[in-house]
Amino acid sequence: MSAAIEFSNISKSYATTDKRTRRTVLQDLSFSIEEGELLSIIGPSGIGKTTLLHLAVGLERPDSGSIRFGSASEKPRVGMVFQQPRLLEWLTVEENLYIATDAAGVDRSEALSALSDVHLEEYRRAYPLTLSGGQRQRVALARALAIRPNIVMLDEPFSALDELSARRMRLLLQEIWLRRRFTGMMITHNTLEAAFLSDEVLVLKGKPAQISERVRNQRPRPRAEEDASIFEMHRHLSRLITDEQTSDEAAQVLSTEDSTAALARPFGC
Amino acid sequence: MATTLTSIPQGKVAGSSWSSIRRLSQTVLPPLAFCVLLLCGWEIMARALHSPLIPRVGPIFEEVFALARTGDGWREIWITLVRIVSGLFFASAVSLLLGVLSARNRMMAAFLQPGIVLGLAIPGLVWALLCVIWFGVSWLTPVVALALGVAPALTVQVEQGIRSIDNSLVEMAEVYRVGRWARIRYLWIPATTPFLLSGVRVGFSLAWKIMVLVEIFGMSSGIGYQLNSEFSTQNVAGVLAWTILFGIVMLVIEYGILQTIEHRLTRWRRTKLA
Repeated sequence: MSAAIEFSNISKSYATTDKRTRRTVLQDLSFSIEEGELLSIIGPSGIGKTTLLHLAVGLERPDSGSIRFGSASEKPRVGMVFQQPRLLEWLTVEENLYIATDAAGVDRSEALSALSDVHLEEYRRAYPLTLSGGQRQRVALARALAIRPNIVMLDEPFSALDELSARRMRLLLQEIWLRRRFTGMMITHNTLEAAFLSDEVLVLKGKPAQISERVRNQRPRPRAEEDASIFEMHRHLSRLITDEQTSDEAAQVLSTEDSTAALARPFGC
Repeated sequence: MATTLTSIPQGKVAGSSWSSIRRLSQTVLPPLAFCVLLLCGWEIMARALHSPLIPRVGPIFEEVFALARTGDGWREIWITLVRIVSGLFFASAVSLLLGVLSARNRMMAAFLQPGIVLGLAIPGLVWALLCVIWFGVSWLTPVVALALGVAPALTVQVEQGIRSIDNSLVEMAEVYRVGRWARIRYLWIPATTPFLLSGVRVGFSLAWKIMVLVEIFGMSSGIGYQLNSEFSTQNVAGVLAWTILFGIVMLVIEYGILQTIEHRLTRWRRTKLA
């Protein structure tokens, strides 16, 4: 497998509020995502997860380092699902998708196919205001998929939804991944979401942010949230981000033999 | 079964006709009631005061019908309307440019600020007088006076409209690499439409007031000129007749054109799934 996206020695700093000094948010961060894999990034609030996503989609530029897409010869197509759907409310559902497909130079039939993937084809002529929050977020997901993306960025995509809708969305995302095998990078606070959906989870810690742990999840899909190994990984990830300790210390804190063993081997094996 | 099938559409038809009657009574009756009350009040006042300066409703409407019948009234109104539309077009072009620049550039906003504040404070009468002095009896006089009088208010509307655009949508367009023209067409224009429409409304109401002043002072045609003629002969019914005629035209523009456009452009707000 080859890398779909590669972050090399990424550093990013911002001016502080008094504008006299700069605060480094990310320093020498390097990692990559393999083709067809879904990587989640978790960590405490304000650590720079969203900054990392903004750097990847070009909304911000790194101070140093580079981001290389696997298919560097062509302009990479990046689909993004934001926390809020960010739909143009004066356009119908299908028109919202056409804006993205037209800009990406992709046939409009892809929009309809993506709508069918999120089970919203019958709402194609509806205006976003007439849809529920979950349906609107499904339209946003369809927009990201419609451009035949090289990579899909998900910025806490289900955090604005109620738990039931979020759970449905997670199952839908898994269903779509099984069909399309897209490459994805997801920012989330929800460790269960990360454990359930991802092939790999990066845990960010410290100031400036560093990768404190890389946790692989090799359990085959389709997965179930109730699955013991998913729950075990969820608990492990929760401990990693709640404890202000290094991964070595975290491993010592996990007292049961199972949990220690879980750290030593990839999840789902 | 057959009863159920036939009873459903009938119920729907009855329901829809009832709701359309209710809608009509909510939208048409109140303004109609206002007009009737105004006329009744005027008639009572005219009868009570018994003065040639307050004519009764009958003679006023005789003048209105006379103006409408001969065609002279429509000709003068047309002249004024063409001047208003020309001036508004000119003012809109300038305001669109200045409003966009001001909304997008902080330094430009600070630079234009005193001009806008002054422009909003200066009465239309000043522009009317100055333009008559500068350009005399020429087509430039009404157009420039109106543009100077209306542009500051329109610029403020455009600036507010552009500033109101949700930055998260601009970010989304950037991520999806939406082209410049598509952004203008699908994002900027629809998002600023409510402000632009309100600007056009404000512009029309200001324009009519400024135009009348310009025509009174420096033109030999148009409604302002006719109002001045009626004033010089102390024909109050004539003054009111011209005002009513032009008021009717402005109502047609508001209800027939502006509200139709607004209704069309904002239908997404009212759409509900069947």
